Amino acid sequence: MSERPIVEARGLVKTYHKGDAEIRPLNGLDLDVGQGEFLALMGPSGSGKSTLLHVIGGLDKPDAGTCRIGEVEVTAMGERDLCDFRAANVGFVFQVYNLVPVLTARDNIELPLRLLAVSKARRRSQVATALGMVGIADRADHLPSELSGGEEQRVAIARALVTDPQIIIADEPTGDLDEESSGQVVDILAALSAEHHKTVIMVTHDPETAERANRMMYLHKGRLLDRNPRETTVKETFP
Amino acid sequence: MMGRLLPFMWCNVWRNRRRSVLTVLGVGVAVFVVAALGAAVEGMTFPVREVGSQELLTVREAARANVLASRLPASYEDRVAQVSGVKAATGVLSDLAVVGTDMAHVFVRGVDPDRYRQVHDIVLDPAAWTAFEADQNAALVGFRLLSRLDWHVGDEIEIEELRLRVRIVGEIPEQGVDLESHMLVRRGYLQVARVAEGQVSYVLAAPQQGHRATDLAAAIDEAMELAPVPTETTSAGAFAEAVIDDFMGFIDYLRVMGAITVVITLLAAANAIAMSVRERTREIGMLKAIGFKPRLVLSLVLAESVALSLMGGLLGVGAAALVVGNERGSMAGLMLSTSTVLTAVAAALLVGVLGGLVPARTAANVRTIEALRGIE
Repeated sequence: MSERPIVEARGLVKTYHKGDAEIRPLNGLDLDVGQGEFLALMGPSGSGKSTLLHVIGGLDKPDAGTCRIGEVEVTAMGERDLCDFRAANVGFVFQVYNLVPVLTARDNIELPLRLLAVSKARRRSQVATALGMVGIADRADHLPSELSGGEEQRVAIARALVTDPQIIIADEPTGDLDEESSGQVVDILAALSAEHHKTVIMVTHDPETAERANRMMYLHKGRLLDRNPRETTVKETFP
Repeated sequence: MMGRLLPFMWCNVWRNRRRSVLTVLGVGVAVFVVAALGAAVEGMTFPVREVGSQELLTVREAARANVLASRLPASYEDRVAQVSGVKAATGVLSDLAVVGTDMAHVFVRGVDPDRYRQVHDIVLDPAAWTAFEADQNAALVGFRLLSRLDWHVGDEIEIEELRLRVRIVGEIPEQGVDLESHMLVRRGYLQVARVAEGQVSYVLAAPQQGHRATDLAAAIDEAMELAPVPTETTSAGAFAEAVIDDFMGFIDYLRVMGAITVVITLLAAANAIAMSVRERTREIGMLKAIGFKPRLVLSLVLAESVALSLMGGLLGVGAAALVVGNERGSMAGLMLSTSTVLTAVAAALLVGVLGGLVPARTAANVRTIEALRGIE
């Protein structure tokens, strides 16, 4: 990673209070992600993976620290500017696909472009490209209820990449899918990184899915580790 | 921005068809009720309001607020006519009868043709006026009354309550002033029929150009100060207000009923929109995540609410036009005016905006990451 990272997080701290207990999912966390990199974030439930994604994607603010995407420090932006920034620069893929049930796959994918005031002709062409990239052009005019879970998630990925964002943030994108569909979705995310040079940051619980990424990191006690601390413990305990 | 998202908004309106149809029907029924009540109020007050639209003065017996009960010597018309600033004056004997099976109110005015025309500019077929001048038993009838009672020019009619038998010699056409719902008969004939020879109900006076009605009213009262029957002069507008005041209790009741209907519908519409917003909390989170600003989310939800309400409004107004705004409605004393229609549509708009406001604000203000987790 010789060139400047596209995502640069420094000293991120985030604290929640649950009753009297203080939970600190991010505790001085640092992270660099390079252009075109496919990064998988792993960690147990409640370890702060989603919190980290929300901070990087400009959906949540840290209590301390900074996060830069490209040339923009997202942690310093106001809510309105963040909305504009997310619309143009960040693509989101969620575990539950969050498609609008009354819109066809094509219209769902087109929605972010309408928000960006893209002309009709360009919208048509960009949607067609996105549909082609996720391989569901033949399902474009179907409603979400007429699609399988894997197809719905592919529509959601197309919606995330249709604006040609700088990064794609995927929060457990295979969490609700069967093995075959999971494989297809991860194939697409890997191809976006490898062939289209998109930066993908994915949270997953599944080690097999994570292994498809260029790099895996583990969130442990509010910081990122390059290796799974549990595996380390096992190996060190039983050499 | 909203323009580009209108197709999206429209799809959302029909997300739950059954609920949307029920909401539209609910608003439609409410708007129909508002329009029908408005038509009833309009029908009750139109004849007297029309009187008030003219720059005429009414001189009546001071002791009697109700002009139908007022009695003045007919000679007062000459005394009023001599007051400086009065262009012309004429005594009118006025009475009211209830006619027909649908109990139509017929306001009858006994007038002296020559003097009345000097005071009152009536757009009328000259032949009809000539016939009215020539025949003591002639009557001119407003077109609304003709239509309502299915009377026709040439008919001989009898109003038993007033002991009148007259021949209709002409129709008073639409002219934006009173009389459209009235009947004019010859004063002498009405005086005999009502045993009121030498008497009138009130004197109508027209001011000369450049004289204000209110100033002239004071001048007339001053000039008539020593008259045997004390008088009170009001502008036609004030007179109309006084008559409407008599109905005001009932009119207020109708208005309260209309307002209650609107409030009930508002609550129902608000509940329907709130349910719709609650059901798509995650989706709203997604919209905000991909860049929809809170104000845009608010506008989208409000637009849905207003679209539903306006559809209901148009349905209600359309139904009111069919049921109330036809000849039968007119015969029953209802009058669906443009202002009533606009009021009903405004009520629908109000239901849409107020009903959608709370759910729209909830949707706009929900934290994106909480909405994505399905937390409202």
